[in-house]
Amino acid sequence: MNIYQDYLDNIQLAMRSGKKRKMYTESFDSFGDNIQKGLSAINLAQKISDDSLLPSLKELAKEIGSTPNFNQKLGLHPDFSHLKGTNDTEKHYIISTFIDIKKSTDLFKKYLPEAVLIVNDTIQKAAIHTCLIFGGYIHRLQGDGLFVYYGGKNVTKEEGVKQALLSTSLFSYFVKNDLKMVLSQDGIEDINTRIGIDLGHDDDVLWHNAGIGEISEVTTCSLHTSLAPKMQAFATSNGIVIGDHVKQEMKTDHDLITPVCHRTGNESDRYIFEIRDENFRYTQHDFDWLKFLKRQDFIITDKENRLSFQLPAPYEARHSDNIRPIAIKSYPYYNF
Amino acid sequence: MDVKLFKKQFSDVEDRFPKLRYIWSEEFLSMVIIGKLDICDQKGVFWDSYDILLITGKNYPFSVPILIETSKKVPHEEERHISKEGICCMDMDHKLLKVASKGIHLCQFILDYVYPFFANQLYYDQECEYANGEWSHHFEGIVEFYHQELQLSDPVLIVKFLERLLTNSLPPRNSRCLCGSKKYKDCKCKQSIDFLKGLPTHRLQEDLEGFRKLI
Repeated sequence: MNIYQDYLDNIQLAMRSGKKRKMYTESFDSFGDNIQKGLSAINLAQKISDDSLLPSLKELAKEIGSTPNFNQKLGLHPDFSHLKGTNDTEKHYIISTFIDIKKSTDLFKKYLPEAVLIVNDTIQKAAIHTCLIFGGYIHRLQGDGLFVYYGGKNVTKEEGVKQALLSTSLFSYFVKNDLKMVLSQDGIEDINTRIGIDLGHDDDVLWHNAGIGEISEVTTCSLHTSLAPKMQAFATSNGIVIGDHVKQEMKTDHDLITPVCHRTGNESDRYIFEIRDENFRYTQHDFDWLKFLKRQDFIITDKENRLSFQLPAPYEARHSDNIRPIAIKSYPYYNF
Repeated sequence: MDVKLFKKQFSDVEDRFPKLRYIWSEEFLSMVIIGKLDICDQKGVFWDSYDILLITGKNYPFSVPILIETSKKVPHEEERHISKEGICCMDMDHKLLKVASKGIHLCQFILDYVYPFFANQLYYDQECEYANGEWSHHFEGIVEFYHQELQLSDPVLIVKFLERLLTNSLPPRNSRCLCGSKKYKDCKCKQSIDFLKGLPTHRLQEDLEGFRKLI
């Protein structure tokens, strides 16, 4: 999608300049020179700065009126930071999202470690930036994954759910389509995401300080926070699985949700958690994020079924020669 | 209304035009497609989006869907081929009725008529004319249609044909054509009349009354 173009350019530049194969095929005399050229080119594929979005994503942020908060600190959700270093607790709803980005070890077969670093760093920053512009709070970086909270004291559950679904859908599209297209050109196929999202209501979520002194984080004790990574494990490659509470907060698009057991054919996959004595069963659902994205006002689907973020072109950017081939099929009449 | 067929066809519509959905209308006893239609040019540049209703009709797939523009981005006026109520006149009734007589394929209908109609409105906004012209309005357009598409210009002859058609008394194949030129089966008039044969009686009756007034 065009909103990630600058991220893709960064990745492509790193791939072009950091290829191992290129150096080994050169003669011994020029070997040293090529290493230098490769590394300096990798430097050109700049690591993305810590406090700004790349321009292509900035446009989307502007359109949705978002100013990402780059001052977040891991493990210190701003709405609950007063709990840091205390034994206090607070009950408040939260939407927990676990984004697993399965990166390819094949990258190391083909590229210098410096290039792999840029590729992985850019993918992770694209994920972080996407979450930030939709009001996500990055709670933890877990290996290849991100743990993100949505919602908080000034955000309704419905709004938080929509933000979680939009950001994860956009990122899934980026990985499944844009990134795949670029990496597959070099035969790298197995990068994908699996995402789990769940909502815990006020009574189900206990915010508290975990750990000691500076070895601590403000986090949640909640069944639903624990279920998010479990649901992620049930997701298909590039899939999103959501908990039933998330579904309940969605006012529309229920047609995009199906219980996971419909896919697996195994009825025991319907519930991600049960307490039989209490007759409590909690359903997990597959979420059709692609259809969801296509329904968004700011997303345009073209004739080739590719998605892009577009606002109506300004008058000066509209060339009637380009609309004419479609318009000539129309020959209107009037008889009212 | 063939609901099963509608749902099957709608999956193609949804794929191509994901911001459209459907509801059942008790008022029209028909499925109504509702939502936004995004218009992009040949190069994929997004120009604008229109809120539409497409009433498929209780005889779907054998009725002409009625297109209503609800966003009012195009003036609802004769010049723009849209009634005050927002009903869009996409093409000559006869052509649309002919398509419907064979059964509408929803996605194709949107691609062939709805999408180009709005693309043409955007073209008009830029160029102050329609890309490929337009039918004259009201009965004058029907006269034009008979002339251009059916090669029938003489109102007297047209009335004769329409009267025969409505009374099911067209000339036998080997008789002389009503225009007098050759055998009916060999005359170009036959092709034109064959086109009219598939149209509903009320349409032909209206044409007949209109052409009678021209004599």
